[in-house]
Order: sequence, then C-alpha cells, then structure tokens
Amino acid sequence: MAIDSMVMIMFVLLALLLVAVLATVVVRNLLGSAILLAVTSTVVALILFVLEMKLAAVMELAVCAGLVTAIYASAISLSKPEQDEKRNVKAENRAWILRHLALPLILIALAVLVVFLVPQVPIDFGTAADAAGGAAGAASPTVQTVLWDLRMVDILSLALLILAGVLGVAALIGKREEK
Amino acid sequence: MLFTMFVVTIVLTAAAGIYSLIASQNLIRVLIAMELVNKGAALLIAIAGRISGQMAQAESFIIALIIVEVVVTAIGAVLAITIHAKTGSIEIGTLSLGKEADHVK
Repeated sequence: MAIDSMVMIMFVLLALLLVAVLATVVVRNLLGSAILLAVTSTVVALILFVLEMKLAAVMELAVCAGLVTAIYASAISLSKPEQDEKRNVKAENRAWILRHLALPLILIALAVLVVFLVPQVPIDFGTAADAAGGAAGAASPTVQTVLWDLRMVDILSLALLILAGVLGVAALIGKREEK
Repeated sequence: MLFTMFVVTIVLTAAAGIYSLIASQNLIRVLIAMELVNKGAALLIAIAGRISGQMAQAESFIIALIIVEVVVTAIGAVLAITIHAKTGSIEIGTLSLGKEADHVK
C-alpha cells in the first residue's frame, strides 16, 4: 500500500516536472522563465527526496531553487532586457510562437521513441529498497564517506572551482566598474 | 512503467533544454536552457544510482553537478551583465559585431 502511494507520488512529480520544464522553455518573459526554473528545481528536489537522496535534495532546493534564482533575477534586472522587448512586441510574439511550434512535435516523437525502445526495469521503493540496501548496506559507504574519503580529490577540485568562479565574477565586475 | 516514465521525463527535459539552447538568442535564456539539461543529467544520475544500488556515489555526483552548475550560472550571469553594459544588448546576434560595428560607425 505504502509502495503504491510512493509510485503514485512519483508519477505526479514527474508529470509536474514535465509541465514546469515546458513552461520554462515556452514562457517569453525572462523573469517568468527564471521563476519557472525555480519551480522545476523544487520538483527535482522533491523527486530526489522521494528517491532517498536527502542531502542532494536539500542542495538542489537551497542552491538551485534559491541562490540561482536570485542570480537570474539580479542579472535580468541589471541587464534590463524588457526595454529591448518593448520595441515591436506583436511581431516578436508572432516570431516566438512560430519558433516554438515545432517543440511539442519533437517532444511527443521523442516520448514515443523512448516508450518503445526502453526496456522495463523495476524501481523499488520503501521496504523492498531498504532490504536491498540492507543486503549490500554493510559494505556500501554513506554519502559522507564517499565525499570526504573516497572522492577527496573531487572535493578539492570543487573548492578550487568555486574559488575560480568567485575570482572570475570579481574580475568581471571589477573590470566593469573601472570603465 | 515507472522506469519508462522516468526515462521519458529525463529525455524530454534534456531535449527541451537543448531545443531552447539552439532556438534562443538571449544569453540569459541560454543559461536557463543549460540548467534544464543539467536537471535531466541529475535525474539520470539519481535513477542510475537507485537502480544500481550505489546511492551514495550518485548523491555525491549530483552534489558536484549542482556546485558546477552554480559556478557556471554565476559566471554566465556576470558575463551577460558585462556584455549588456558594453553593447546595450544581450542578444547573441549582436555579439559578433564588436570591432566591425565600430568600423561601420
């Protein structure tokens, strides 16, 4: 019963994700698109939570749905693309609709292709998954062990990447302020 | 059935992102499209980890992916702002002008 409800929840979340992704691509307003991307991130976080990847779900929710949306909102407000969009709205709207007319057809064709080509693989939830994890559980490491012991070099690389990102942003903003 | 729905969702998410990446002219929209492709990749890693039983490995990969995504987004957003300050537009079509535009003027 509990497993059935988990599968139902997963179906609903996957359908919600598809709707959010389509809306993100199709919506013309940039700020609306960024907000819909945050909704997409939230649904992905919920899916990760249902898949029992709680640390990744929290990261996705806090960083992708929170921080990245703030970055996009700042970039959109600082670059003020609305002023550019006001020029000939009707013609641009028509071009926008024509450009995205092919999208539903492409996605439906891909969906049909995947349904026919992908084999059925069972995904276990709840007790079945716990039992499977329990069998290998004694040997399988936790996320903390993987991150801090097995993938220490990756963590160092990520720290360097964050440092490079911060320095890059600082350099670009500094260059802009000089001018 | 659930696995098929998962794969359909992953493929459509990545396809919508790639489509937007190709069709968009706006730099910020290109960044949003890259994020969508990343979401598809994250879900693919998650479901692969769930099926293979290597949840911890998959989770650490997703965390690394999220960090890389944020750094790319931050750099891309600042680049878009800088390009807007310089050229007055963030449309990709206008980026190739640069020095030639100065010569034309």
